[in-house]
Amino acid sequence: MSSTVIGNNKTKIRKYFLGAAFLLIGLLIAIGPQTIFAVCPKDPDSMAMACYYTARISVGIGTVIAALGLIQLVIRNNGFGSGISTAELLLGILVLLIPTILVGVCKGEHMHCHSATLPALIILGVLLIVLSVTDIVIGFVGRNKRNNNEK
Amino acid sequence: MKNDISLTKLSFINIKKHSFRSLGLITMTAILSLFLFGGSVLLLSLDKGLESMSTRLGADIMVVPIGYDKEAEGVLLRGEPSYFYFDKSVETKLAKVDGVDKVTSQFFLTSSNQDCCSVPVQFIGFDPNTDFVVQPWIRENYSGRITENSIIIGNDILHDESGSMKFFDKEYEIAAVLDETGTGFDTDVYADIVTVKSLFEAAKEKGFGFTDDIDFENSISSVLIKISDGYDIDTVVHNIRMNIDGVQIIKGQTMTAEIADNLNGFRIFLLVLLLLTSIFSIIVLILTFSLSVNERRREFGILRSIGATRGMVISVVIKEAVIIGISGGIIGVAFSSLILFPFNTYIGDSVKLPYLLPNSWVIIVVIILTLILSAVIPPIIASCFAVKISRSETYLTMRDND
Repeated sequence: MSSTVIGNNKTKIRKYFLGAAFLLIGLLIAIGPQTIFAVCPKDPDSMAMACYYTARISVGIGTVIAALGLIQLVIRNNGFGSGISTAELLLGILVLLIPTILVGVCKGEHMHCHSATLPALIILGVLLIVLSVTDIVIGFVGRNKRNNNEK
Repeated sequence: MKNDISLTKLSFINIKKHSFRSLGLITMTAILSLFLFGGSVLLLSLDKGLESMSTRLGADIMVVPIGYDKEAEGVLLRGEPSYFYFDKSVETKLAKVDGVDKVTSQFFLTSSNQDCCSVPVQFIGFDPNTDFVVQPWIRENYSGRITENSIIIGNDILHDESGSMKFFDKEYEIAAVLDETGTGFDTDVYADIVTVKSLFEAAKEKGFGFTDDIDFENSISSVLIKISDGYDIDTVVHNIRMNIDGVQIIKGQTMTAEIADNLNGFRIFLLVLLLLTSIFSIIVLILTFSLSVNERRREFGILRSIGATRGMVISVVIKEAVIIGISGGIIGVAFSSLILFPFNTYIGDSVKLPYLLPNSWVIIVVIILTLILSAVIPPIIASCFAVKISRSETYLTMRDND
């Protein structure tokens, strides 16, 4: 098997792996704060707390992350990969900022949003950033190698 | 020579060449180390929580109004705010009971912490002149005298940098913040009885009613008792029952014994899970290494034929196993840490037992031990098969795969 074919196979595996990972992470970010690591329930008689808005914003961001992952899985062109990873990197940073700085969660350590939702979103955000950066770096190094080989 | 391959490099090449199999072996080792590390930290945290609770309880016996033992346990163990009262004369009567060495009373009150989320906070007023429970561990964090309108707060009480807190529109200076205990004590606020009384008045002014017919000056919530040397708790409890009606008696050792029983049950469950996972992982490792070494007989035969000694062949296999073991160990510990440390508070709240992470050095030791086990188990398994293969005649080893 020639090195070009092996290289293309590796790129495909990377593409599908990342696409699936982004899709899964996106779904967890969208659905998690409403379900498995839910925020504090909203009292209908009083003002909504910060964690309520964090959960709502997470639905939007998580959906976009998942959609980009799906596009990565479905689209045949391997060139989209770096673009999608760059977008996921920026979204990952946003996922980190929302429950910590931009919107926040309840201050009480034993409130469910603080003990479960906050760490879950931070971990998912970091994971998204790590995967995106890794893909960008591998793509960059691979392109450099190809350019050097062509020369 | 430039293109010489060392045995270590050969091991890396073999791992890369059989990537799918290597990934499977690394996954099994990762699962083993995940459960080893995670299970160990969980058990150590539960033990530390129980020890911290036993230290904090302080008293041998706690006496509360009849029917309020569950509420009292909720206050102490789970930080569930509550208030209940009986006549102050009970304290005087208890002091006279045979076998009682020291008594001190406490006054319970609940409040809204106005800094956040209206979560009720438990106030515990103590008498500085007779107290032998609260002041010893306040002294760990605060050496001064607790003055009027100053409070000592548990580790989980929210506060800002101003150094004071507001309850019922009245400011109280924070004298100290106590160390974390992993129990209900972390959500308590301690103050002397005079301060708590002023808080009670402030609450009444704001329209908060507690028990309507309470005579504040002559009411207390609990009496803590230290028994005299030479007496056992059951005898003193019996003496109290013979002399005083209308009270509920809680033995300190009973409370910790109940928690220790629950903890033992949880411990057994964790150990069984750990054992089953370890056995399963080791069996899979044995099967995989056995298959792997057998299918590479020709490869080992070729190595022997070009001059590799038996020791070299075994060394290649062992090095591969060590690399796989360490990789799996690091991954397992990392995954376990991702769950245990960020979700530490959530785990503690979920198990409903005193839960306190061990200190950093203990955790580091557990990580090192887990990594050592992960690095040692696969090579031991692999070496058994490698030694067997290396004993065969080179020619026969090379022909075996034909």
